[in-house]
Amino acid sequence: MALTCISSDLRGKIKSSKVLVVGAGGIGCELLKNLVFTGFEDIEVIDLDTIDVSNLNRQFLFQRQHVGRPKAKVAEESCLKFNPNVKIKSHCANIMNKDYGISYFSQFNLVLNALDNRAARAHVNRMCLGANVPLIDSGTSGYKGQVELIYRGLTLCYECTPKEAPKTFPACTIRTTPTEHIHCIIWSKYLFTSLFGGVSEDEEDVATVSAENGGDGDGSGDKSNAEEKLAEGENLVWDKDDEPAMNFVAATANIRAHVYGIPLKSKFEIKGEFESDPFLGRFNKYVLRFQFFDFFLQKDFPFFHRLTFSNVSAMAGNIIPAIATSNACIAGLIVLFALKVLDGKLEQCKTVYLQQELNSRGALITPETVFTPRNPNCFVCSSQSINLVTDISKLTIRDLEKSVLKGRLSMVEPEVMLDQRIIISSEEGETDGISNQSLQDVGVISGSLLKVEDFVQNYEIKIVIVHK
Amino acid sequence: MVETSTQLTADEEKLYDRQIRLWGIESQKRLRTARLLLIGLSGLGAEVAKNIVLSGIKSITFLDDKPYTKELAFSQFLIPLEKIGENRAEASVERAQILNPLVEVSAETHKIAELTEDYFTSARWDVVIAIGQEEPQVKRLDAICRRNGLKFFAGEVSGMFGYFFTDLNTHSYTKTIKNRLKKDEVVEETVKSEMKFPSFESAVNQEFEKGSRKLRNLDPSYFALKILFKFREEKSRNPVSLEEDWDALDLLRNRILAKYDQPKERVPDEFLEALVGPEMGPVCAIVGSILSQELIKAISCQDEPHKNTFFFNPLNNKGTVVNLGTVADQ
Repeated sequence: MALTCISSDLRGKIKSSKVLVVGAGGIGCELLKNLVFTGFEDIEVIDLDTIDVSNLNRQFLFQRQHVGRPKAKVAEESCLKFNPNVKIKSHCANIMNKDYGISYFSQFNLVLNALDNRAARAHVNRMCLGANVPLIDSGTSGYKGQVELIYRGLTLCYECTPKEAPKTFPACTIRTTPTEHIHCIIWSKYLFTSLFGGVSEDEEDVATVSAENGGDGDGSGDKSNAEEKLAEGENLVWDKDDEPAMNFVAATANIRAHVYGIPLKSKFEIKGEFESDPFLGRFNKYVLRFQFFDFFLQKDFPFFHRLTFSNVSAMAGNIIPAIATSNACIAGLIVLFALKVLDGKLEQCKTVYLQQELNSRGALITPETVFTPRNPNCFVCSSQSINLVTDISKLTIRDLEKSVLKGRLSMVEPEVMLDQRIIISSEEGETDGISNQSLQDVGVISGSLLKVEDFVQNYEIKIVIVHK
Repeated sequence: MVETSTQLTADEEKLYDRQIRLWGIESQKRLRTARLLLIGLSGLGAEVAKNIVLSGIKSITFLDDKPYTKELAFSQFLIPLEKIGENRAEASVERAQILNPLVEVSAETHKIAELTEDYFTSARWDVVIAIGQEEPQVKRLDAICRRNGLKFFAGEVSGMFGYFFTDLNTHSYTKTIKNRLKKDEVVEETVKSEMKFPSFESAVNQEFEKGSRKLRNLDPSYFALKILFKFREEKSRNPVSLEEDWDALDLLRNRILAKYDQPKERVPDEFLEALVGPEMGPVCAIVGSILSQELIKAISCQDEPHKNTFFFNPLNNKGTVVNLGTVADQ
């Protein structure tokens, strides 16, 4: 008995292909099941998250007794029950870790993204372009979803089109003049960290935080057991899945909202804000010190062009959680894409969208009719320089590294050269001595050209500094 | 469907947290009163079972008289591989139950053709889903459901092709419409609405005016389904391989397309090839997911249903909905 709707040649290719699944969350679980049943026998899966109760309504490879365990490992175990003859290797790790370099990616015939956070998707995009491995990227949001082939030289890359950026708000609005409920939520988050948190927000690594929210943006682990007492000198760390912490933030946000005459929100909705935007309240430092996004208001920088001030300060978007059906549909389409790539039928892999409503021609799952031309100004798949508009007397080297290079440009280990001098090194500690200095202090002037390289991503870009 | 005022437990709120935020607590309450009968535990049946059990309905009964055979090993993930020869409904219960312990999952093994109307009118179910059944059987089941006020779905996957049909008879639901007042100001409003559905019999007997726009715009999937139904009527089985069945399929294609005055290229060879053989897992996932979401909408009486036949075209990955048949007395 064979899968006779496809050629025996293709069946052979399926059997001998090695595929990487990035993410074992909502889409990942469905995808792994489909791969195993379609005849893929050599699969690796990577995810750093652990299983939470709220995953169980759609991440069907996991059950109650698995809560708290690593997603990748449990997904592997569940798939082996479907077919014990399949080779599945699981990694409980961050795909942005430098252990997974270009040579790691090169060993696969196909890479399948089942992620939902921008930073990790952008990273895998660069790795696959660098390793010249076809990437099938995917995403879902509520009733909608999309599948996209990223194939070097043929299609758009993940970063050719603008992606929604994390939202941030002027500090004065948060502090003294809240007008939206979201402002109160962010204020309450400050309050929580000021009262109970010892670790400074500044120390959090933004890139890591974002990657931890992979696979549907769920939190890590079940933290519902909050009965234990903290030892002397210990502090609480903010975690949206920690029930008492969430209760505190929800209650104080609503009190503040009430005081300012803003309609209240349920705890559900408030928690949703943190889930729909993993960065919410994380950019505090930059928001407080200066208008972080100001320096991206540069016209020839398409990626950030949309971030005008009014957009930046707009309310966080609607809460759009993931559901089982959309994930299942998208995961099915990913495998059909995979088969067509293996079969050399790239022209049948035009980006497909799952819609909530029928379009005027009655289509619910709609493929694009042509490949969108690549963006010649893309800062990843074409060699472009970007302008960074900032106050060089205020922006520190550390800010440049953490918020600009790692935060906004999704780099992992950036190395920055000013003329022949390294001002940010990928070697740990090498440039720590100057990290608190401003760009001006290290000799950057308006018009300076920074050469930025990330060896992990095999990616390089030039940044022109424009003083404002 | 009965509405309930009972509150969700804290346990349910945690488990269904994400979906409640998408479709609201009222929909979730309606879901958990719904009792479903799922006929045909094929690969597509397993996908529907998974999605709908995860969503948190009250109960689901699997009904199937066929044994688990090897061709299901490409899609039926609810049955362990070693259970060859066991009844498909019974063999699916254990894994389906593990997906969500809050849902009652059970199995029955009656011969579908021998079931009398009493079986369906026993007030045990609100919705009937018939997967992979013969055309006359689907007609009969739909007619019974219409007479007895049960919501009805039918569908199947063959190779890489799939479809499903929806008959909600007269369906009342709420939907949200957006009124754009100014450029940046959109006001949402929830309104009540009603939709009448044609029977399956009316849908399959749909006629098209020669050269009409509707005929021209039909996805090739429509003709593929006609070919598949006819093939099964003649051979009492689905096409299994190109060597064995190509000639029969080719002949049926010519006959059916001629009837509609359509050129042979309307259903290319590649499409015909995609019809052959066991259900493909990823296609079951796609068709099953759309069917399940329509089920959830129907049960929760929320959002406009996609009336009334969904086709998945595996050549271009397109999923379309065509309104087939006419509503009587209108």
